[in-house]
Amino acid sequence: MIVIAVYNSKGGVGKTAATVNLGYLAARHGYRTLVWDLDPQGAATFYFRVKHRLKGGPKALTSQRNRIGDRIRGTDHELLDVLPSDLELRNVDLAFDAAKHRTGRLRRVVDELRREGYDLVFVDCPPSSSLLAENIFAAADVLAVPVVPTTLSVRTLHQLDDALAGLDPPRPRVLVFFSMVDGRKNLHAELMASLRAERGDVADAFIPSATEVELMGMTRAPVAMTAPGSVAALAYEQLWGELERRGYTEPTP
Amino acid sequence: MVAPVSSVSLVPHEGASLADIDLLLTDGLGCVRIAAGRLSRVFYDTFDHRLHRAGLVLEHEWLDGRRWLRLRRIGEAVALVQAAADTAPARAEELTDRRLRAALVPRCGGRTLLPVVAADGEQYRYARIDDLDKTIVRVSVVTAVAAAAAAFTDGPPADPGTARHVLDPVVTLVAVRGHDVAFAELCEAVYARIGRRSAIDPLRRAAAAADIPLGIDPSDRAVPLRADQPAAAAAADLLARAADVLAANTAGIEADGDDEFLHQFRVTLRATRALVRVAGGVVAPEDRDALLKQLRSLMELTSPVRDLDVLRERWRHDEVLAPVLGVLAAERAASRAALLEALRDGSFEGLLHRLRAVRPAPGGSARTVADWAAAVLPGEQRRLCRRAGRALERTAAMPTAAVVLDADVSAQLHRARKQAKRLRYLLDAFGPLYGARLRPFRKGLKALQRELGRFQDDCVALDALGRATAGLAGAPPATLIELGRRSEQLRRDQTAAAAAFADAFAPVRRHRRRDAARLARPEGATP
Repeated sequence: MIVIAVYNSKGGVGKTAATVNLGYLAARHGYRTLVWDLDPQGAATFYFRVKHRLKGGPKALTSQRNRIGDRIRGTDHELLDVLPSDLELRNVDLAFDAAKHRTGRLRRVVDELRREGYDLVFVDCPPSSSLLAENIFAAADVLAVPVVPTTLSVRTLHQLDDALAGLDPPRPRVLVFFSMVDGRKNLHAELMASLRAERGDVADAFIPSATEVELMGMTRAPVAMTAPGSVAALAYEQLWGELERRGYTEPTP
Repeated sequence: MVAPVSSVSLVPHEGASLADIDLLLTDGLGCVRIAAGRLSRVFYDTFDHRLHRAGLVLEHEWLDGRRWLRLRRIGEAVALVQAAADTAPARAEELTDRRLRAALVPRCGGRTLLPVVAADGEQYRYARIDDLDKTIVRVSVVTAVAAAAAAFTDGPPADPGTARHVLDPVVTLVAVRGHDVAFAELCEAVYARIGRRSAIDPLRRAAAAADIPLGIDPSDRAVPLRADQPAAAAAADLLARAADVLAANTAGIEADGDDEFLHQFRVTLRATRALVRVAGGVVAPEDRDALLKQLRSLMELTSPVRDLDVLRERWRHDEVLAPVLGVLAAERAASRAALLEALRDGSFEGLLHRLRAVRPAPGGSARTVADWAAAVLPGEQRRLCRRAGRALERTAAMPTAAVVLDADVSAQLHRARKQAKRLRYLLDAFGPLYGARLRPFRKGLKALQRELGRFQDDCVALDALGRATAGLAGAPPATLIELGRRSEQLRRDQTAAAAAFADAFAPVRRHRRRDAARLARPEGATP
């Protein structure tokens, strides 16, 4: 089982849309997939028409007496399940702080999820650089990092690099991808080119700013399903293909 | 592999039409129609149906224009592993998807995945949804006609035409996690209204409809013997089983999808010949003579093809030897044509008939199979020790490096190998009479046979390499140098095998009196 956390400490960069669409595409390609919604806003949970409730709240993630498998819900899509969010997850940092092994709590939940037989777990992370982020870094095999090609968003990427450099190995592998790209803006094009020149972990695929993605809130379904021929759907297909091609959906050799 | 989510499949009552089922699911039980489309499946398995015997079904499926490989447990609708697969599977280790490889390689070994049967039809998908408009139970109805399998690559298989075997529709309900109660309720309602039977094995169902046998394992020659059984009856059982195994492998030899069919065919010929050779006084002399002659002539036809199959497998990944394999492929095609001609003419049918209708020797009715085994096996063991002993003396008398160049040594080792094989085959046939007492002897014999086999395989490989190299006179010098290196490697391996033969023979020779005594005393033999 591979855990791919879609993470950026900045909000509004397209993490949830990426998680939902990549999760859906993974299932459509035959992977038994779980989307784990860690964001207390519960947008991924909402997109999959699942109740925004995690029985036990944050304690479900810290107490070993709570069987996490019982909290998983199926979706409209074959091979795709959701571990729903809950508004109470906004206090998850407090729960982790009070627990033993405060940075390894999510890792324990991941170990429990391994028994459920999933091939891939996509984690929709809330914007955070707190204890929850440390837990995510310890639990994930891959960090998929959406970056809007703006100065502030790129700055958070450098902050992430610093945070990961301070960790003991094994560190998660990183795949950066551009999100909400506006082809009309020169700044976007320039920042994308310079970041690609600077580092090798930037995906060729990028997600454009698209109405279809914004409409997901109304359709409550991935764009690959509601608008399969759209530019946004094709972009997510390309991103998924790149994850597979670069070996991020398989264990590290 | 982890068990997938719950599912139930059932065949509706006879007479329940698709329209009835649709009406029940929609109007009766509140499901909504999701989609309908063509569903074509080809079921794959190894030559001996290993997957099916392990409770698994592998399907190459064409659905909505996409192709999938799905591995399921029999009776479960949700696949254990599935992956997009545009091309038909061939060998498990060559599958591109890691998960499928991990699931199949341990079960299939190096065996080829062969199409067994095809099922072509329609799939109608329904869902039960809750008040949030979310799917809480998935339902599918599949209709199909079964036909002899033909792999598809670019699209669904062609219409099976007249060879259609219409299958009953199957209704499958699949649970959605977290909605177990809704699943149980719908299962109960569907079963009560249209259900007939569950636990559907899709491969067996399609194969039965298309009249494709699944039951005979073409590598299983075992026959249960009773010590007090008359020898003639035991011989008749063993030979009839041999006929079944030979017949079960012929279609696979013709299709040429997996070398294993020919291998098992050839092993059965050898084992049968070994048995018939020692069946004097058990089988009627005229039947015995005719069988020995027929078996020998067929074995001679299988030898060149099998030898080249072994080389092809051995050198499959060696790029340097690719031109050699090209030359040998032509030889194989010619040898195979001769073999197929023999299988298609009436003499092979005659052999099968004779094996199934063998007559007992006059006056031999009082002898039991235990007495028969006790009379022949010690003699065969002594013969092995004599032949291997002679080969050992000969190899010990010359320098190590010269062993592989001496034609007489090769001949001696080959004779010892043939005798070791004969004894192994006889032990396979009579094994049930001895229980576990012969285990140490069998283990020693197997080790001895392995080293003798290694030596002989290297002989065959060197011979083939020489023949093929002669046909590659125009090849680049670098290729010829590499071929020379391969020959050297084979010689070194042969030398090592000759040395290992001495070590493997030592325990067989040391315990020969103990083993002879055990071979002379099967359970139930007359003291």
